[in-house]
Amino acid sequence: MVSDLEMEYRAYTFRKLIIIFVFLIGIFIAAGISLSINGMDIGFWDCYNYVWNHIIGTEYELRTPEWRADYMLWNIRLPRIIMAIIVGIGLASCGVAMQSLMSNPLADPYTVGISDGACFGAVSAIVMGFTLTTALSSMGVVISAFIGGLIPAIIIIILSRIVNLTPATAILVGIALSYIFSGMETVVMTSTDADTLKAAYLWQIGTLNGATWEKCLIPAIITAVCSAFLLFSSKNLNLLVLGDESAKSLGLNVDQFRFLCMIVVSVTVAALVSYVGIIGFVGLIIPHVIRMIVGANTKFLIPASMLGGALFLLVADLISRTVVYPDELRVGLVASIIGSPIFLYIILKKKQRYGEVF
Amino acid sequence: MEMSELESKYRQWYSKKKTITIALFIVSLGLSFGSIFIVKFTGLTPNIVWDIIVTHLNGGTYDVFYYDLIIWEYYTPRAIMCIIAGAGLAVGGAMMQTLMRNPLADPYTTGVASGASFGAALSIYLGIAIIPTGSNQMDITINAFFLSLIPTAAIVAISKRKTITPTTMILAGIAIMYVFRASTSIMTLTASPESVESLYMWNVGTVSSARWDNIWIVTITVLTSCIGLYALCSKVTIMTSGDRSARSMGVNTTVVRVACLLLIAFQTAMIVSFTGTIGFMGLVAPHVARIFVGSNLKYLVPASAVCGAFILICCDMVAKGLTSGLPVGVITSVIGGPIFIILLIKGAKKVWY
Amino acid sequence: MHEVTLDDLEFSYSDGNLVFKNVNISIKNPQLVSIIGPNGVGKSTLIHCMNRILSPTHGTVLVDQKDVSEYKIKELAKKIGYVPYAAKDTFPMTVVDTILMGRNPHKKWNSLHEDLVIVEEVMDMMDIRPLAMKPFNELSAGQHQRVMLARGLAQEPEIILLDEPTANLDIRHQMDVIRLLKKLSVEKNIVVVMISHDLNLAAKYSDNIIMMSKGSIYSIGRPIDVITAESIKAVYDVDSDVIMREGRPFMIIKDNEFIDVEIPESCIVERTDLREHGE
Repeated sequence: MVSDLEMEYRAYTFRKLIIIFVFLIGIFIAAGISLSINGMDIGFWDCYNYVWNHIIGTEYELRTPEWRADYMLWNIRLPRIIMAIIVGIGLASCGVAMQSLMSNPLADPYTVGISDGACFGAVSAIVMGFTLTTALSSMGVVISAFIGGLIPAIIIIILSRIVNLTPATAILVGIALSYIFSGMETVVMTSTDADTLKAAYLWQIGTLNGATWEKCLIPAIITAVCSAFLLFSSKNLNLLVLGDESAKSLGLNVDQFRFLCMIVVSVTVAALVSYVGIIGFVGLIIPHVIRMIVGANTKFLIPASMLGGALFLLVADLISRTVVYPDELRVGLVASIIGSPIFLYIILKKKQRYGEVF
Repeated sequence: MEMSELESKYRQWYSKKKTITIALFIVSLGLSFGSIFIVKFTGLTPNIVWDIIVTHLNGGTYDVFYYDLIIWEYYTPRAIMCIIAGAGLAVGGAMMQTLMRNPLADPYTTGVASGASFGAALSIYLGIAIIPTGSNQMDITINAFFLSLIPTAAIVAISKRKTITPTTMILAGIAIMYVFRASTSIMTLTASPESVESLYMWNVGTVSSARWDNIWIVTITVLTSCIGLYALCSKVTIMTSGDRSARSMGVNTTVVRVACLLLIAFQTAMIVSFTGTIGFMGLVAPHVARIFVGSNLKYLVPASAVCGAFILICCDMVAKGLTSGLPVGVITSVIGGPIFIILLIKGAKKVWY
Repeated sequence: MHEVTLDDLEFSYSDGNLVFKNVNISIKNPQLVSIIGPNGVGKSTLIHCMNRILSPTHGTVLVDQKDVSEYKIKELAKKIGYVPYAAKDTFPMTVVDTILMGRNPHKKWNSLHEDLVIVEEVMDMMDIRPLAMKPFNELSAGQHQRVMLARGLAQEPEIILLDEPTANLDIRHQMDVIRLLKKLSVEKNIVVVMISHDLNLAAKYSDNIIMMSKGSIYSIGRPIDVITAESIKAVYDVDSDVIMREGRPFMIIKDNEFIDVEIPESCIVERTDLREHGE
């Protein structure tokens, strides 16, 4: 016999699952639309047909229209879609994690200085002569960005082991690190000519352009590991929000968990940023929006945010590709410009006080 | 006037802080004067600098035109600008942090900086000037100022609502900032590399654009805003215990909040229009000041002003003396950052929960 | 003078939930009034309507026959003081500074001396003088409470509203606080309205009690009339015996389940350092 309470609880969870399911469908649709805007007039279902066929191994005769379609969809469109999904998942889930780790609703994945560190790394590489045109060269930029992004994170992690840092202090240290690295970045930028400076500046603006299957590989692996970790840790993340003392008394090894989380999040975000540049907004705002829909329980918040982030980025990328067709407006910009007014509208519409109890 | 033991203890506690503040102020003024002497041009000896200053104070001009230009037209206003801008940003930061009850707030939190940057971009990239003057520099400044009022207006409108919380305000400010930043970036995509470089330099933050004809307006704005903010500071302090408690003690929270935001934004917009976005000052100076004088705004505001001035003038001296003309915004970040971190590690427990 | 009237007061949240309605109360002359009732029944909300922190959805509150909504915020603050439950400060200040905040409705820019005199007086009343320059966040919960009370008193109000002033206090300090509140109502002609969960303390010291229940007033009157076994059962669903002590009702909780329960011999907690010496 199932009690009334249990029934109600199950209905409550079921609602959340429905929302998650709706997101999945949304992603499917958005991806399909994205695929079908391809200059070749291939419809929605046909696109998926091609994809499915490719997966099951159908080959086409070289140079036939089908072959061209398959090539374009599989090698050009699809990687970009996959990349959007990966980055959306990664940034949004790390955003949720950061907000729980720092107990601050204003934290986002870049709070510990990763974005400025990565920019410094990338800019240094570009100024030193790596360009983004050749594959090897651009790998150099990526690696440099990755290392640069990790440095501030490592500093904070080490500091938090040596000194007792409260979350508020940790954030302040992160901000200080951001400033330091952006200062160093400026030093580098001022030492070079205008063209390189512009190239370096443009690197920072997040874009999914040029995504290939090779490029998707490492981010995919890292994001998959990160997502798995965060999904398994959702219970612990919930505990953190109660405060360190309460969490400890409920059996969580707070220091160790924070340490582990920070490493996972930092590596993931640094990796993503190295490949696509800085896409703001997703890591900060999407968790807030999703929280308003499914509530603060990380068991649902994390998966919902992942999917919400992926969906949002897909749509943003779609818009960025179509609004000035055939040119492209970078996805990082579109995310900010479209997302912000929507977000403002949402928080102002809410009648109750939002943000008081996090 | 008879004073009880309590009262004398209270006054003593704070007179110590007052003394430190005043001492630091005098030191900053001294350093500011001294910074004029830091010159990296051959032939321009400290003696000559002294001569130039004395000559001007007597109403004349020095006979070597080039030297006169550098010292009197460029360096002297620059020294003053450091004090003013440092103080203004720091006071804005102290008030913002207390108003938002968040240690991460600074005067740029409402998005003022991103609006100003957008305005500057309009001028540099597209040549659009809201009020065309002859000079390029002035155009940028005017654009930056007017455009930075848009985020301000938005935040003020938002903060009038009854259900507003500090967190919501900050989030709204961040959202607005995203929009402006993105708009600026869009323009960057199609701009010439030289203009990108110009805008980038403007963004980094520099005091080198200070001249006698523009220093006065910044000074007046900052002074009036600071006085206005200081008059409100006791009410803002009361508001930290919560809107309800504050109202029950006679504070009209909505009015105070809007007034503060307007003053801070106006002052910050004015500073930023001339100096670009010098980062870090508005965030760090109040924290440093808080370690010495505590959280009571009545003493924190002057202390922050003095701290801000001191930090900025030191950074400027480093920028002038030790580097080949790097903008001061870089120095505040690169040097201020580590020092701030050390201070945080040492003093964190005392000031926050 | 010193009159508070609540006229057909009603309050609902913005999402439609009704907190209370048809509240008609008239408080005349300085006295100590306790508001009691189960958690969530609207006691805090009622107080907040009195000093205009919340606006009722219907009805008016009159202080000295003037509608509270017509008072300027500062004027109202001179008349009504408010002492909240549980204080939290983001930026901890010294105790003196915290209490000085209460002088806001009265102070002028150069009145520091006069303000400090009052602050000192109030700190003596609450027995917190030795804590004067300590930062607020280094105090215990009980000390927090007394500082908050001091802050409210520093407003020199004619009416003072307190939200559970004796929570977190040990019995010595509970006694001190409520005796002080009683003295304020008698000697300083202040109307003291306090929310309390301690029925006996309320009964012993209050002149009148307002008992609230589920969205309305259950009963108002002298303690002896309000605190009865029937009313306690009706409002709290607790069985009790009410006896008279020194002219006031005193309630004792009855638990029909745990009566005369034997304490097992094996349950032992003892001082282990005495054993060696004693035995």
